[in-house]
Amino acid sequence: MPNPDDQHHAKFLRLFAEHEAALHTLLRAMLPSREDASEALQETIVVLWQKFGEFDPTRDFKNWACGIARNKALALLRDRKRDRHIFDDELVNRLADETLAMEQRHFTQREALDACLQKLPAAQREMVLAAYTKGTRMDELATRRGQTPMSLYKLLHRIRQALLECVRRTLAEEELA
Amino acid sequence: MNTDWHELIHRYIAGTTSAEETTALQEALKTDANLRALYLDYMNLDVALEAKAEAAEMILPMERVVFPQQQSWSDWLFWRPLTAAAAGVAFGLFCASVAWAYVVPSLGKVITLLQESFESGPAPLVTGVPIDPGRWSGDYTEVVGEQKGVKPASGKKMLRFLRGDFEGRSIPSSHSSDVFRLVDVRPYRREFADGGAVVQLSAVFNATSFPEDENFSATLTLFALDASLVGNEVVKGENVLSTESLAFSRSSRVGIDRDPASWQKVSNELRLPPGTEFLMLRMGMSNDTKSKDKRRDSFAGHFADNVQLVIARRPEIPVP
Repeated sequence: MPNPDDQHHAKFLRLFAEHEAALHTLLRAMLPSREDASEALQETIVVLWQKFGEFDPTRDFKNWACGIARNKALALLRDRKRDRHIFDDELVNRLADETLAMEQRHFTQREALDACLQKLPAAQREMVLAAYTKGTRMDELATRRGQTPMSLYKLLHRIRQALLECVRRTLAEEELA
Repeated sequence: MNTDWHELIHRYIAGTTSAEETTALQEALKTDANLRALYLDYMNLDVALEAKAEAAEMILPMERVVFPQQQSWSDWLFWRPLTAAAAGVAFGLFCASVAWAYVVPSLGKVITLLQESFESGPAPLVTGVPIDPGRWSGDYTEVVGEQKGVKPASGKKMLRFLRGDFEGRSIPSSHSSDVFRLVDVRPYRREFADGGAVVQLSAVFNATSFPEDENFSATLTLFALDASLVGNEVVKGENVLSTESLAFSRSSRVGIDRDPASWQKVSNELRLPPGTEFLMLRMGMSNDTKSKDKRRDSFAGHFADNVQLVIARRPEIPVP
């Protein structure tokens, strides 16, 4: 006989797994930094798990989860009103709405990222992945690479812009096809 | 698009914009839809690169596991990692070749070693027990779409068991069709070096309607191996896996019902000995019909889908 707890876990994981990327991107769009988005995502998951027993399976899981995620993001922003990097609520909510509307677009871009990363020279690919690795300090990475932090930031910006142009081009090509 | 906006967004991502620059960006985003789209595309890229970097930290040379297209995500099970603040987390996602981890609050980190729904990848070999990792091989099987009234448990494809023998070896007395897969677990040695990890293999099975006087069952078996049996033809011999493995576990037989709409799930677990380097998985469909007259070595419509292999640390049951 299947363990009911295991089934409950599995059901939650299935639903969350399906929408995890959309939730993370939503939070990143609303919050000023990756760290803030990760923190909010973790808090969101805890709430989703705690409330999953009350979740009505006839409802749309994504809408429910995104509602909880938005509230978490807004709460985090309220706590940090004095931070000069915080956008106002009007813009944050508009960014949230438009992110959700762009889910398919963003999925296609994420799918294209592997191929776009492969188009980078190996050294640039390694650098950008190193820069995004949790715990990496840019000043230490710059020292390891024999660069100043400013030149490293500028290189990272150029690589990100190139990657974005690449994934956007892929999206445009798919839309034309 | 004014490239200054790219620069400003980058500096905003880096957290280096001044209060005035942030305000300027904010006001421009409020009025310019194209700029908002650019900003949101950058945020999406930011999340995706973070995930790639984390996956690159976790990824090890092992099984290729292919991600489905989005239209099948609603059918897809267990693919994306999960984070939980309570237990601490590892991410791994978005890549085509990846072992990824998620956290189940009651278990801690769970690493998915294999997720197979037969939607893509090479066809299973029909040459008996595999000697190399990365591909299904065993008795005659094939990957099929919906047929004989049975729809795949997820996606558009499933595995069909055909016969109880394999290419080059006829076994009329066989009443079981088995398929195997070798999985390299050496990258995860740390997880079970102290004997503290368990692997769980699960899959679902189904059959087209069959007569009342026939019976079928499915089993899953796990064999923990060291490297000496890998790449070695001796593993194809009968009973070698049982006698030469470091440990093995066979699930109980789960009877297959006569309803083509229902899939039966089978699970099996094995606590890994510290010296384990590879796992051999076996999925078997058995004709248990007690009849001397009927041939039992071919299968009219028997299927498997949604194979998953995970590893997690789990303490042993304490005893006084």
